[in-house]
Amino acid sequence: MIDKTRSNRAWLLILPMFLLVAFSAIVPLMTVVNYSVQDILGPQTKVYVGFEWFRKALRDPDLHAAFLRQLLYSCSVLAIELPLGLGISLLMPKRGWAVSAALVVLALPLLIPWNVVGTIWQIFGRTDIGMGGAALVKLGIDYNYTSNRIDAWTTVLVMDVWHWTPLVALLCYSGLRAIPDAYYQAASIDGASGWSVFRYIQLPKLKNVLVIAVLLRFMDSFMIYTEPFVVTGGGPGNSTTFLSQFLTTLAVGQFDLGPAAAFSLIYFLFILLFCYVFYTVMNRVGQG
Amino acid sequence: MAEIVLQSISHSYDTERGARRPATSYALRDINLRWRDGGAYALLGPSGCGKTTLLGIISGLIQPTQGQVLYAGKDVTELSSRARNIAQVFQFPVVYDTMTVAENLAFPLRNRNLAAAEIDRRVGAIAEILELTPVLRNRATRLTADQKQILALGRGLVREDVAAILFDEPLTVIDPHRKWLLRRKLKEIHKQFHHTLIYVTHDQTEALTFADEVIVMQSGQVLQRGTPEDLFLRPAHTYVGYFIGSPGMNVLPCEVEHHQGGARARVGTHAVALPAALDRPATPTGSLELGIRPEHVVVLDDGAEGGLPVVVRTVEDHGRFRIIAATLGATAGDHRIKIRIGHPSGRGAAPVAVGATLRVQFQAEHICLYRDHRIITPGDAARGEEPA
Amino acid sequence: MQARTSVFDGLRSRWCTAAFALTATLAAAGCGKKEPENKAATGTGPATGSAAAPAVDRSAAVEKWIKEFQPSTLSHDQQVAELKWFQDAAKPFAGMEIKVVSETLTTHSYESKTLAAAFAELTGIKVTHDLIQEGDVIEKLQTQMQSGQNVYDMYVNDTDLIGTHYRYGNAVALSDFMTGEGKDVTLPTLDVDDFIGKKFGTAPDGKLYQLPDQQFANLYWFRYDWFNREDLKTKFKAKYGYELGVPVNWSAYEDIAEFFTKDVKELDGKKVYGHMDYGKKDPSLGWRFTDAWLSMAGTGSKGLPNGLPVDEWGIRVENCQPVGSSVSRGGETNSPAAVYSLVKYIDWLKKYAPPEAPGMTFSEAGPVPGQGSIAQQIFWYTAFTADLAKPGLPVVNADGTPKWRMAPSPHGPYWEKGMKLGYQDAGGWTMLSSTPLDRRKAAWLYAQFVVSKTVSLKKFFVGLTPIRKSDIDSEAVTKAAPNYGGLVEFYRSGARELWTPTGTNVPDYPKLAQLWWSNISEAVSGALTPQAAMDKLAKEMDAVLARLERAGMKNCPPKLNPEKPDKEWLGAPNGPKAKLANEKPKGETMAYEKLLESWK
Repeated sequence: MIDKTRSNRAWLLILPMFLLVAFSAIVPLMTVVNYSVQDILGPQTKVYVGFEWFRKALRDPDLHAAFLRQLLYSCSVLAIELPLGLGISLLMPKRGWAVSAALVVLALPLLIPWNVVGTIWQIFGRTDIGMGGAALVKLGIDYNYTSNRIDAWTTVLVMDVWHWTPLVALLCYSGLRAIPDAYYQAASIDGASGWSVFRYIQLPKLKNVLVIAVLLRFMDSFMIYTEPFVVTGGGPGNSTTFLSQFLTTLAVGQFDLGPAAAFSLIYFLFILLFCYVFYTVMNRVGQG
Repeated sequence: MAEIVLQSISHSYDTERGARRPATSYALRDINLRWRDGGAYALLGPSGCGKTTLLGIISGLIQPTQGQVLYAGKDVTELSSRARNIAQVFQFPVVYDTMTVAENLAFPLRNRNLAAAEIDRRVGAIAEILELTPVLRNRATRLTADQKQILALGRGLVREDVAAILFDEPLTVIDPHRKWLLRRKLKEIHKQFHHTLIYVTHDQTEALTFADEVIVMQSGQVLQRGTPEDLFLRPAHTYVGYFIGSPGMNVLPCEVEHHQGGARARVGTHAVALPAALDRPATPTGSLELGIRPEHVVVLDDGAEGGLPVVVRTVEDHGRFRIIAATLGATAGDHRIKIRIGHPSGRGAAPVAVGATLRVQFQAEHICLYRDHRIITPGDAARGEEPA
Repeated sequence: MQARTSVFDGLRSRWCTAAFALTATLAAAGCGKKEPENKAATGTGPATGSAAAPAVDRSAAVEKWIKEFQPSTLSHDQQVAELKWFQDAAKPFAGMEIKVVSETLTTHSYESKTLAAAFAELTGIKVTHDLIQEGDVIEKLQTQMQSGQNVYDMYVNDTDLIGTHYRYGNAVALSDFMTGEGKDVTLPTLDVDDFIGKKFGTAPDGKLYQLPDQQFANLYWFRYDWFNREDLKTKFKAKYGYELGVPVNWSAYEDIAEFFTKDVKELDGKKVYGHMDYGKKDPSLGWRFTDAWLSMAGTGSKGLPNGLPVDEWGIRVENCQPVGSSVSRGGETNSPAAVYSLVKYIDWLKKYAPPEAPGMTFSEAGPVPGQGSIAQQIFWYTAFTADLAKPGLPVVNADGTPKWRMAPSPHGPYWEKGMKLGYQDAGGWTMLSSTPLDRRKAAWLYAQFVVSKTVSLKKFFVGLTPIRKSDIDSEAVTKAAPNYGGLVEFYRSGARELWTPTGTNVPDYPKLAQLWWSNISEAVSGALTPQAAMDKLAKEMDAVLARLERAGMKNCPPKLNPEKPDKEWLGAPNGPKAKLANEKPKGETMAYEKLLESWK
């Protein structure tokens, strides 16, 4: 029997990485936890308050509303972008120069910095100088995203769909490219209709890709800040104030570190929980 | 089920069917073949020889650049695979993951809008034959690889009027010790249903054991078609001789001399007597080669007279037989000969030492003569592209 | 199976990275990591550095720049003397690189581009004057205050934060500095009393914490040419029973707004509106209110520069300690007067302003009067004077004089004489004690340079934000006055005293100011009634005051009053005002010429 030799020197080799992770992740995280149980009004003015911020946050009706709004937003985003992105990827060309052209055009919205996206849509939607807003008004539609809740939501959703559907489309497209031709040939031989091909071959084979797409889009939409903020500022009223804006006003605007730290921990734990549940469910479904 | 005929099939991946511009490279050149209804055929050849392309043309997944495909006399070149009603089994198992085994089998029938009762009956029958009944309710993904290939085969069989079943190297992903299970199954199916089966492979063992008739291809052309025995004993092309058999045929460049006592082939400084059949009055032009299989090289006993002297270079012991690689003549640059000697059962024959000199003799009836790589036969028959 | 595991491993690590990145970013914001902007000071350059430069070059620089700084209230020799003083005082700091920051106004742009370059040429101290948004200036300030790390060497920061600076004790008392540590770098001819905004930067302890650099007021703006049209005057008098003129109270403003938007509707083929404002949910919606909108309606107590005991935020103080903002504690944030101001704001915005106005932010709404369709605007910053006086605009005459004028804002029904009326934005140089002494000294030299009498008059002509009485009273300004639509007249009048920044009642400006815009926007959208919105705001402000009380502040910390039923406070002497039976008394106006007369 050959024994594997143990070398403790290996631990030294991971020390640099360990330090880096400690510095960039663990220490800041612990700092946030530290702040979350204090009321910090200045470097010399700190008061220990225990779980007061957590209690306040969990009871705050504004927070609940923002949370529900956020969930509604994320679900709407997923409900629109996944089928749309999948549909686009099915329509994309499969060979020739058209492939590159399509990929480039599709990727363009993804390259734009996020606050620029917000600014583009903010101006686009204005009824006086924006192409979109003015056109809608000319057509007789009463559109005003700053004072009408539905219009504000629609504008923010359309902006997100425009911005991020290409990501879903590109992911699905790469997944589709990975399906061997033999499956299509077998389906053709079996006389399967286009719908059958989609339902029995493409969709099952895209399952992994779609899981990634769901996870990415959910996470990104759950933390969305710049784009809706630039377009509506969270308005009218609070109708487009999502969780991250809530947090940013606390942390950056008011520099209120205690409540902000507590809230960000809650935020973090929620995302953790969601990812865990989603991942487990997906794994089960995959094995079942 | 139908007779399948390929007429003047040429194919290039560069151009479309009917295009005016001539292609630069051809995957297939002027193939003319006829397959009998109900035969089991193998398309054998190295990678890139065009066998998969040919299969694609037969099945309808590829449209040939030139030529026609006829099923029972009807031109089906423009028809889709579904319309031609063929079945195909691919290199890796293609099953519908989200369906059960039963649903997989039922799928082609449902697409043809058969009655539910009829579908159930056929599915049950095929499952019985393929020994899939115990797993009918399971998800198709749960099966092992060979079971999946059987399932894929089943999807083809479940249509009673299927014209032909095509196999594209189906045993590629199957474990070696299970390959024989599948081969056995295929032979059973063939016996029972008499479908036309066309089996593409690069493995000669599979081809030779499976098929009634084997078609050997190389570089887009058919080199020879015939029974496994034909291919083995009378390879029509030196490549066939080299490809078939383990090890392949010994091919030695030679010149033919005619003497009173008969013709002789001169290999280097040595002379080999040729059989009477090959004794032709006029020596044709072209490079001549002599072919003899390692199995047909006899080692003379020590002290015997005659034969060719060979010097042993390596000896490979394969258990039930030995392969001796030797050179004819002692000087460098001489010809290599491989000799395959089967052992008498039980103990091996006397060990052969490297460097020893043996005297060997070629079995005359098995000597083949080749001009420009093609066999010279009595009557100089055409090169193996005739209808069976 | 193999492939699937790796896909999910990739997923897991992506999610881990995202989660850690989120927390890392948040912690970095709070951890007070050293900002990379803080370059290590190059130290006090050796005297040899500047002495090596021949004295000839320096006086050539002096002469060159004096040509730029014309006109000036100083004579040529006086200017030379001041500039030479700067050169001498700066010698120990030659070669240093100083960073200061301010918001983005025309005045500050001039400082950043021209004055900083002049300063560098004259003294050898290189100044980087960053221009960012006011909100961001406050952010940087807070970062330095919270972390103790030097971010900028000096800040031009609105004196709205005087209460904050005083109570947290992070800012250096300039009056002490000038006679103490900074004696050798204080300009002898600075003349602090000449600054009209001196008391804005002064704390309850009587010390100056912020030296004024620019000022502008929030006034009433109107189309003088339209108000003088006979046809409009007749029509107005017929409908409302009094003369069309500068409105003195909100009733008159409302009548005039209704008149132009609903009755006149069009002038010279263009659609006209009797009101302009902005209402998009944005931090600028907060200042819309904290910049004295409530006191314009009449919320707060009498007292100048800010109401005592209740100021224009509705915060009540007793002995300099904030005791609450809700009516139940004696404050006025959710009082009838405050609610009235919010109701009127929303009403007018929806009824009389252009339809895009509710969707605009402050900066988008700014240029609109210049496009020629607005008759009057009650909330207008004089900082836009230069922009609206550009030749070629629809609101400017061919000879360059404006068609419009500015006038003191009308007051609401709750307002009483002795109260402040409107808002004055006063940006002042602020020095934080966490900045090293030598850097503070060098920055202080620059600060004084840009407000010195040598440059201040020229700076006024560039940016129209006056700070010195001597400049306002000068000949040059008298000559130029007709081009400024009444700005000069206003600043020369006694009315100016009623326009003041946020005062010392506000103990923590950043935390309290942020509460306003989200609550106001809920009222604008209709999600909350104005009363409910102000109640919520008052409650949230009191919560912050309570936290400050609990944590303790260096000076005059808050001390919340116990709550009492509202009616006990409403109408009490020095308390929140009770609701008026008639919130719309008869409109009063005054002819603009008469107004000017009354100021002389």
